[in-house]
Amino acid sequence: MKDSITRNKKAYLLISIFIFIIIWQTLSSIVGPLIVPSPVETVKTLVDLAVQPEFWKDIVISIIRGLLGFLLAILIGTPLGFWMGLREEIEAFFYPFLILTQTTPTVSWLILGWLWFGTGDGAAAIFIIWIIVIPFIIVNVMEGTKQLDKQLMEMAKVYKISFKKRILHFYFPQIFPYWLAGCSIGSGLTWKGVAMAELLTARTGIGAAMGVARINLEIAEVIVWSGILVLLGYGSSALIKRLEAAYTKKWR
Amino acid sequence: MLILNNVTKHYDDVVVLKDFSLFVEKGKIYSLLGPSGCGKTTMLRLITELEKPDQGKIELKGQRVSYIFQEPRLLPWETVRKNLELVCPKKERQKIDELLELMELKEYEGAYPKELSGGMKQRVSIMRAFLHPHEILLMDEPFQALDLKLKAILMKEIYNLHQSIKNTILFVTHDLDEALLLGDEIFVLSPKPASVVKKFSVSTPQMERKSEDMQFIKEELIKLLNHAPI
Repeated sequence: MKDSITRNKKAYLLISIFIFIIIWQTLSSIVGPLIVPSPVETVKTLVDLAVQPEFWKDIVISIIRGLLGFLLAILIGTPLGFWMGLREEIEAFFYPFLILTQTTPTVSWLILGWLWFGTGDGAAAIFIIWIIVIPFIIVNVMEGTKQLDKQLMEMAKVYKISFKKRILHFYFPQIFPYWLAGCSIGSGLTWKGVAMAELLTARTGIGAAMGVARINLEIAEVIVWSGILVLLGYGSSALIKRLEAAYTKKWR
Repeated sequence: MLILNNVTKHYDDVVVLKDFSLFVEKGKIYSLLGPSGCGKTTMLRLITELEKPDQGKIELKGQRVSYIFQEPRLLPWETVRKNLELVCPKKERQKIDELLELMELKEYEGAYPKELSGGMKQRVSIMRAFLHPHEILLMDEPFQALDLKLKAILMKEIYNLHQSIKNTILFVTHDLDEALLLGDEIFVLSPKPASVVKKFSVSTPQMERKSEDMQFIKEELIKLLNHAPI
């Protein structure tokens, strides 16, 4: 029963992709390949690009920048969110920072990052990713910390469980799913953000390459790069889902 | 020895304990019998420092405390064995196996709490309390959700374990029979704010107690509980 549902789901997925390609092809035939390059032409462009080392270099550079910004957001956001969740006065103290990062439009960070860090080594891109990802890590970890099971925390107190054991066996298991949810949102923003940041603030990376393609009106290249970004976003979200399933499947 | 000296505790406008005093001798089992909501749990929470008294003093004199809660309070993401190891000093780990055998849970040591029945979970929580080194054991209606047969078995096990380590037990309950079966001393508490209305000592050893012998005390207790001043 379950097997046949899984098989059905796969079939629908394939049909959906097939229909998408048909629509794409039809659109391309109607408006012309200069505006919408056909699927075949796009694949050709991909192959042309893939044989050049610069293509892979741009991808690796973007991944490194994305990961750096993302990891820095986790490194600072996780303990900060935890602390804010534990103590209301700390939450109050960092609340303005949180609101500021949450509500300032990405385009403002883009321009500010550009002006502050300039174009070149990608520091601006890393900063921009860091600042758009960090509020999601903070809010999720803070929420998870606030939702800690009071009864279990009392038990820890009565039995004088050491701080190290509390972190490992009480805090971590309860906050981890919230943290992962934050990471999931953050990873999505990372790959969207990295291209956007590089478009304005860098000469290398996927975003910069897209900028060049735009100037040259290479629409097929823009589509190829977009596809790479989609893969990065999908890949990281699938990885996070796996992590969560592996972690909770035994005891839930 | 454990002393509560004129302890007062209130939540918002509700006074739960007012000038409450209690003197507990070492190595005995105290049944604290009182109506639901009379402040029994609050008293235990004050002893474990989960709450602070508004007034008065609680003297623990460095004694360590174990607590069997109303709910099992096991970590759902840890196995039975790990739940026990968390409170048990490394050099006393062999006791875990002994207790698992005794409580007939040996085959469940690798199971997660979701795989256990309510009674099994409560047994694990009782084991946890005994594996944690302590002088004073607090029990807050630990048998409430269990059927009669299991209740009788667990009370016997708790009594045997108590005999082997001579801990002091404060057993809070609203169940007359439970209180009479387990207690060396029985303290009857009034409704909120709680005070000790009457003290009984039961000299018959726990293992020899039969319900007909206890009838006299039981009738006395029922009278007291019915006429408790409000």
